[in-house]
Amino acid sequence: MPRVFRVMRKEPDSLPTIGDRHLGVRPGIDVDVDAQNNVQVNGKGMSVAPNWRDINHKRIPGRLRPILPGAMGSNSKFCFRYGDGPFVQGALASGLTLEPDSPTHGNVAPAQVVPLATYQGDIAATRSDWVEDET
Amino acid sequence: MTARPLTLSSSYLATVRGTHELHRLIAEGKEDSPEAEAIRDASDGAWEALSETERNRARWVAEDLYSLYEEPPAKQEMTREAQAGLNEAYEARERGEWDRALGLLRTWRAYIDPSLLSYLRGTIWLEAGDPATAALFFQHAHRLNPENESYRAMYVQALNLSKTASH
Repeated sequence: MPRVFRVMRKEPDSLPTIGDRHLGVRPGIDVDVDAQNNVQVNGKGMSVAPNWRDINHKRIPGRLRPILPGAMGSNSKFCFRYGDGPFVQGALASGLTLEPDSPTHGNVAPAQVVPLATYQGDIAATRSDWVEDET
Repeated sequence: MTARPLTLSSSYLATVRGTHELHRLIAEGKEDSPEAEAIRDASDGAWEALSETERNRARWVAEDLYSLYEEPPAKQEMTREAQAGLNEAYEARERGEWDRALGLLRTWRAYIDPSLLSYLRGTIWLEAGDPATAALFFQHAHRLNPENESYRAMYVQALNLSKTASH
């Protein structure tokens, strides 16, 4: 499965917080939802990058400035890694695909049209496979 | 070589405007505030549109702007090597090698007064075509050294130019 990075809060178990700004999506912003509350398959989804250094510098925790100058993100967030394969279109996890839209950015999208709760559940199910990685 | 302003894309300028605002909030201890998150959210689109050169430039501007409210590095006694490095920075600025000039100032910043450092950064950004960033550095120089008339005059000039540019 592709290797992806995302900046998120973490819980005491050192795994990412489940939530629309963390491990999750903001309906209507990150994904399009129809009148039946189904998530559309149109390339949109949870934003990820092939390396944390590619992420908007305003999101990278400020404590990482010695590694990435100009980091301006909250120090209450952490860079997490998931997967270990190339950053290419394809299956990421059950019900999820990676949809790269540039060499430095992609979205974790639903593999098919599903209810929003199903999609959110599929994303949440990946929680235990995210690893903090700020190297 | 004639010094020419940089070609700054609308995405780059939007990114840097967000950087200014976010720095203001971080300086006020509001890095975790909803306003700060809103700026980060609003800046993702512009960030994705930047070239790698623009991303590096945007990161370094953000890094340099921390100097507006953080403690400067411990002052070092001038050395021949540092003087040569600073001369190189002046020469790079004269040639319009803006990123290089800024990089050299960064390398040798501990050897010059913080007000002069901000003044020089301001002159570079003014000539490079970003008067809003220049104004922030000139304002800092003026705050550190209010006796220096040049700092005040340059601050006012950059501020006026940035207002004109934003209309």
